[in-house]
Amino acid sequence: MVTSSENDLSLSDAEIVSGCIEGKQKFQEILYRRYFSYAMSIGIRYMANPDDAMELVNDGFLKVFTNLKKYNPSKPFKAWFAKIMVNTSIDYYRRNLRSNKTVHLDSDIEEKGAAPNVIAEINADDILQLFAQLPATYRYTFNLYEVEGYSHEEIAEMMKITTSTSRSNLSRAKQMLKELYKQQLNVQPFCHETL
Amino acid sequence: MKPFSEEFVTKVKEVFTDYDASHLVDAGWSAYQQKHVAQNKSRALWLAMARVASVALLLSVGVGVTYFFVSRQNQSNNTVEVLGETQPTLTEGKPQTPNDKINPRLSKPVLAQDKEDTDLAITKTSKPQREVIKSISEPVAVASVTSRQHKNLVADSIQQDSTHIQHINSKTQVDTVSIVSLKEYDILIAGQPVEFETDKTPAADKKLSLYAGISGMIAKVEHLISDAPGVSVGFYAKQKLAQNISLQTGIAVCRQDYSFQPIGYSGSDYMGESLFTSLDQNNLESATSTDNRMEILSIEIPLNVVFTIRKTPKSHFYITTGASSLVFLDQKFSETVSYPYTTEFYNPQTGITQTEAHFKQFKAEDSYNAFSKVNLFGLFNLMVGYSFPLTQGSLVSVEPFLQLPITDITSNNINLSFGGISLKVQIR
Repeated sequence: MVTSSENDLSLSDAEIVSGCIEGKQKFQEILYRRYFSYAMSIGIRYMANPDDAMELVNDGFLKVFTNLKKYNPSKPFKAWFAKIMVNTSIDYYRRNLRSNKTVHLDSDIEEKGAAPNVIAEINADDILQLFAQLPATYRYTFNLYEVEGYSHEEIAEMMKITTSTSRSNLSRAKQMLKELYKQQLNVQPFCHETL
Repeated sequence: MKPFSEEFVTKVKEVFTDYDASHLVDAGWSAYQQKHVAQNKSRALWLAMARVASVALLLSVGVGVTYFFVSRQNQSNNTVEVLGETQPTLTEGKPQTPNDKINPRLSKPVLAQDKEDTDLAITKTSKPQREVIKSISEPVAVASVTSRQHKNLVADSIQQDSTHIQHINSKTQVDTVSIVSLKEYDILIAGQPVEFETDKTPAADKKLSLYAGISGMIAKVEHLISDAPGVSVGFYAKQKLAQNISLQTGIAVCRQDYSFQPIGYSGSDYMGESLFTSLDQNNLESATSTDNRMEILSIEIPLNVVFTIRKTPKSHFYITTGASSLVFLDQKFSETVSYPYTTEFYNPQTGITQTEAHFKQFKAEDSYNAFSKVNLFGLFNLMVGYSFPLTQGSLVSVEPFLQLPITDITSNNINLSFGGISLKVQIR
């Protein structure tokens, strides 16, 4: 079993990729270990559950290793890798499209109130806890738009929805996050806040 | 002060940029290996099954061809076999006809007592044999039918015809007669001329059948689907191997010329490496595919096994499965992508630097020469067919079909699958 030794750390992405292309399992493991946390950071935002996220990440890695021949080494590997992970998570969404029903906000959550202050100590678990309570459609729209930087047109195409639905989903996702944050993390609101 | 959403997004980005899941990496790697092994096993199993199927199909072809030639050779020999049970019906005490002397196996004339026995027909005979058998059978048949009603006339007829039969026998050696059906006796009773149909095998039951066919199909590449149908025209041969199993092969020319439309997100391996090598990575990240075009001319050689699942006198339902090999005569692929970029300019009137968004288009093209790629058993075929008679001795088959990639096909190694409908007409 390969561990992250100094040797492994000294290997560049290009060297690891060429080793993987040659089918060397040792290099696959090095690449896996090197990019696992990064892949999880993408996967867990979409799945909001470590087990599902790990399954998604492994599917993503399988795609990465299968398609490495298509990767252009002159371009940054991380961006290519991230794109595959995001596409894999969208594949998941599309596969479970029937179960990912749009959920309408409850009236109390829709109620607009003063926005809470985002405390500096909020951590990944808190965020994941909030994400886990969002409907998948909202969670995907929020991540794709706000974190990945896709446009509403692109999101609409990916998720098979209209652009206006994408905009509406994002707005509702933000509202819901704000309300959930306020309710569950017990934060004091402050005035003159806009969404 | 920043609104909540902005601050929250900033926090999400910050937290997940340094997200540490290293405590899960061992579990993740084990799970990955298990998944990978399972997938490899499944892939190896499919590969092995495909190889076994290929060998089986090739063997079947060999056996089929050998059987075809052997059976043709047998037909050319002047031997025919008695398959039907025969019963003598001449009245007792009547003198033996000269038929008895012609051939010991024909010593008892092939005659019928009732309707069941008259269900006879002469098959598997060469043309000269048919003539001979017809000559022999006609007078005997006359004798058979009329024996119940006009016994005296029968005896006279037989005696007269015996001279004729002897004459025939001196010219041709006829050993046996293959008799399966003789419904024509009923016609004879009604006073109609007897016509012995010696080749009344239904079209669908022929050992070897030839078809001409035309197919229309749509293509799918991952999340892209063709916006117009492709066309395929070909000739096919079907060799019957067993009661409900046939082997089908042929040759078809396929023309695919259309654009692809996305049915999901537009990520696909449609253009292989062309886009990756031609387009800047940052642009590729934000690029949106606007036009994917494919022009392919290929020769398809299918090798299928046909399983008849329901047979009625007028129609057949069957399932066809097998694989197709493809030889590419012309391949052109193109993909146009558009990607956004921004420019900044200073507005002296307002004193503000403004940013403008623009779109650029980039077109990548791949084209390949004839015979630059051959995909041996590259497509898995699955068809459900329904056939019905068109004219006497010919059939029309309607076959909705699916063709799924066993391997990536074309020179761009794309995961191309087809679905459509095929119309075939039996020409022999």
